[in-house]
Amino acid sequence: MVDPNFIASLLASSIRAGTPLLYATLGEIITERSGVLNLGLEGIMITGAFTGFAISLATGNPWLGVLCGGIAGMLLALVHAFFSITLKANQSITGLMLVLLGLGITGFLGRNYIGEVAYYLDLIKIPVLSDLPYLGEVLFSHDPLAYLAVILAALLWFILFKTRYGLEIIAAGEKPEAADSMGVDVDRVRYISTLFGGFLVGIGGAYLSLAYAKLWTEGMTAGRGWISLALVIFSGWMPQRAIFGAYLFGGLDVLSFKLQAIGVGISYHFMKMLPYVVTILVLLVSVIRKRAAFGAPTALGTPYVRGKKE
Amino acid sequence: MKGKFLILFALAVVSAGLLAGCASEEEEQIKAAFVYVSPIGDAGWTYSHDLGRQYIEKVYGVKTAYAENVAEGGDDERVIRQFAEQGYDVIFTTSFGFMDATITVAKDFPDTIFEHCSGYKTAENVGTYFGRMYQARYLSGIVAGAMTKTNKIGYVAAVPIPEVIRGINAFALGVKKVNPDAKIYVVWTGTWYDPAKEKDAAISLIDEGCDVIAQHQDSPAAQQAAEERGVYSIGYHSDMSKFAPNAHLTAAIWNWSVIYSYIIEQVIQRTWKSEQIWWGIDKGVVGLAQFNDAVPEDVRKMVEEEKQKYLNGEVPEQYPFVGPIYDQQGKLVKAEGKVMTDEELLSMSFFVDNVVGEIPASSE
Amino acid sequence: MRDIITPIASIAASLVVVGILLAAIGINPLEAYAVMFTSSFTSKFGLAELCVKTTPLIFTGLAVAIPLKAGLWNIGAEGQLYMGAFAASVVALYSNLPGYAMLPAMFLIAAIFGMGWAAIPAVLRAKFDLNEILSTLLLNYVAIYWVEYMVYGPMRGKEVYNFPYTDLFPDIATLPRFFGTRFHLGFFIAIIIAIAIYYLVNKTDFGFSLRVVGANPRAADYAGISRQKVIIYSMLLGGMFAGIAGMIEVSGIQLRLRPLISTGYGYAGIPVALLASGDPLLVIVSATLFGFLYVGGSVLQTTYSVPVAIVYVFQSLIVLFIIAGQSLRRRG
Repeated sequence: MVDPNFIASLLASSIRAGTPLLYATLGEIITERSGVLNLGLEGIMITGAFTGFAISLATGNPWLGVLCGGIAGMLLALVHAFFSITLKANQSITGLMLVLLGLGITGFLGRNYIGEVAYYLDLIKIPVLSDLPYLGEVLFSHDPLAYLAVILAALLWFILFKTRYGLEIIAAGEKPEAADSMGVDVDRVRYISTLFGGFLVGIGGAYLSLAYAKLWTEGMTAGRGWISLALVIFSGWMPQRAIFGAYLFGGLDVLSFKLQAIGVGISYHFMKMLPYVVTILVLLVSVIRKRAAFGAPTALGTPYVRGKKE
Repeated sequence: MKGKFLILFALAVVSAGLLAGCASEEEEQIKAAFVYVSPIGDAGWTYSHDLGRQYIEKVYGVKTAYAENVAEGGDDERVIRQFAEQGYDVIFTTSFGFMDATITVAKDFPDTIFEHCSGYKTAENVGTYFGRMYQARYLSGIVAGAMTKTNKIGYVAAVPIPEVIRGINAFALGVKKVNPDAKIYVVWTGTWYDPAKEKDAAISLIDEGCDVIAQHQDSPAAQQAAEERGVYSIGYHSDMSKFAPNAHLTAAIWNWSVIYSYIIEQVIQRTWKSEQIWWGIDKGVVGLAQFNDAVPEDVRKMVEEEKQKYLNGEVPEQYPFVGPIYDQQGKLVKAEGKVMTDEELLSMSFFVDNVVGEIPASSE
Repeated sequence: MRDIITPIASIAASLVVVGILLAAIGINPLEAYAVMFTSSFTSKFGLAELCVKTTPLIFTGLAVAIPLKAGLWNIGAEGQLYMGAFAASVVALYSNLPGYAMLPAMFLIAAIFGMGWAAIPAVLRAKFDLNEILSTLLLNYVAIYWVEYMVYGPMRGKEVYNFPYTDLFPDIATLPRFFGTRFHLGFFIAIIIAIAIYYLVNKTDFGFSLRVVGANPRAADYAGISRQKVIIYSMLLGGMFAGIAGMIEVSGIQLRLRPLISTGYGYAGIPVALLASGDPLLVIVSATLFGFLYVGGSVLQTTYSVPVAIVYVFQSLIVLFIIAGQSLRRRG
């Protein structure tokens, strides 16, 4: 089992399986950093998956499909933003309703798309590098969105922690009153963060139907939205850690398959549980050791009302 | 205050209901209802049944209705009863888990016909129906066994229920017939609804050297994986060559319209009686899709010969489950010449000897 | 009085929007609504099924409402329900208790397991200030997969043709049913408990401390109320009710354990509790509304062959409208 081929194919598959999770996690990290909790990821992701598929089929252009998938995700997130920020309603419940709404709309509209083959994104094998033994397979033979995800994570890390705009986002999520008094328009920051988050989650969904599975079935996100919520916690709301987390969680599934394929029996029930258990443990460790860097944004889930004291 | 509200609410609702009271029209047309356990959009099990529903609607002019994603145990009894109360002549319940509810509701509606798919309990107005998909699986196994060069065949399977296990075993027996050295590697995905995972499972098998991939899932994702990696695959449910033009050798396909036609014809002619229908390839309920050009002539001939054995009654319906059959530990499960009973088939929960994989243990 | 107008106005608004959608797919909305009403309220079975769906929703509504009074969000009612169902099933199938002891024992053990499952996030929140929304949500999945593992493995039945179900519960482990329908004892238990909780919340010292902690934690400190204790107790109570919901479902309706025993009742408890503004008696009303949405949705399916996805759209729109109504009213 320490066969390098096994490891290489495991890693390569983990990256592929982790990419949709990475997009969704990055999106939700930004959203939650600004103080908005969006539980509707599963609904947003499936909306992105369906829209991407439908547009790609209609136009023959998968990139357009990906873009539209992101936009569709953004529109759904707009509903959430409106309810959470403007109406100041409870964010958990609107998020949950978005899951239903997304699954419902896509299930209904998607009925006629079963059995279709869409135009999808091809692999890009980076010349020379992709011929390297093992490393070539693992690092340099993926589709463009997979490469983009890593670049995006690095970019978001930079923006969040090294730019003024990123600090505004973090402030809006930690101490909105302080941010407000410093001239930050908390509501606007939250709106933009939520919309941007929804855009990325939609792209993660489009990846599923256009690069990963290349087809459409009802409910095909199969819980990835929920796993991404766990991943946000697991990565401590830090984009760079999300890369590791997404590939790890994606890889857990692949590992269970590969073990089965070589005849090692493993209970897939426990494998399914594992990401959630691990996340709880990570949460536990972080709070026990009072690592503020690992903690949730303080104002997460709380609408900001100017002048209201805790 | 709250009490007032409750009363107002109740009054409003009841009066709305009474005001709305509808008069239904009587029609001579036969009405059939379908209860599905998953959405039609699952691209697999329910999708195939729905094709059968559309067929009888078109060909026999039957008025049909359906309910999808009906939760076993929780909602099934209500939905079945609603259909019965709405006056449907025959109600098809398309999942094993609907069994208790079907029997219970049938007791209250003796004039309605109930047909339960994949079950084993019948009553005077309840029949069961199923297809011997394992026959088609067996034949497809012959193709797979003949075409593999690495002698490693992968099988992407959803959940360890008897139907899936039976399919795997029949497939394995087909492989064994032409290629005793080949082994079938089973990977459980644990889901019916996740094409991306199915693809990963297929790729895991391919990475470990499998060059023919079969599957028991709802989507063609495993076929796609085979196509991308340049290996062969066996489809399921319907012809999946659209998704894998080079990889798709053949597929084990359902044709539920055969059974639905048979039942509806009996209902129309008022000759229906409760039966346990479990038909196979001889009646056309299951079959093989067209062969890929790559399948050589001698393989096609062998498949055709084996298929003829079913058609002319040379072998029992339970074939290939005729002894000697060994399990993974080498134990003789069926003695030479002995035929497995339908009940043993319906509750099968072991793997035959050329299968590599595990089934979660059941209680002792 | 104003408390009532908003939800009714919201429901009306959502019916209009949903009606437009129905018309868009070729269904007469007035006729559809009429069918939904008549099926639920003018037949014995319709009413019985409405109560069947309402029963677990009352419990999960309470499971969310009690912690809500203390300012906590119990998103984990689904998982607590599964653990309660699991524990009750173990007792039903393996304990060989005599008839008079069986159901009470199942009830108790389900309450304990539900409580225990909620204890984890409760302690984490009380001692470490860990956001309970996240911890309860994660634990849901662990519970669901645990039950799945049990049913596929050690608890698989012998008379189920090797399908992933347990055997049927013995009769003494099932709740009595009435009127030849599926209407079962659980409904009465739910009502009684809701009334009891109303008294607990509004007429006892504990209920008082609960409400104070939820409304104004600082004031609670000044009044000498232990915030930690209230947090833990309220979550434990919440978990207890969700666990009981699980027991009621398996012994009243499912009569065995299988991988999917709840169609999201735990999550539905959240809107149920919110619409009732956390009031235990109003929970009965909002649970009934949601029960009606479930049953009505399935009537739409059987009458018009509407794809089940449409039902999800309806349910979410109605809740969103009601929430919008509540929010607008708060701001107004």
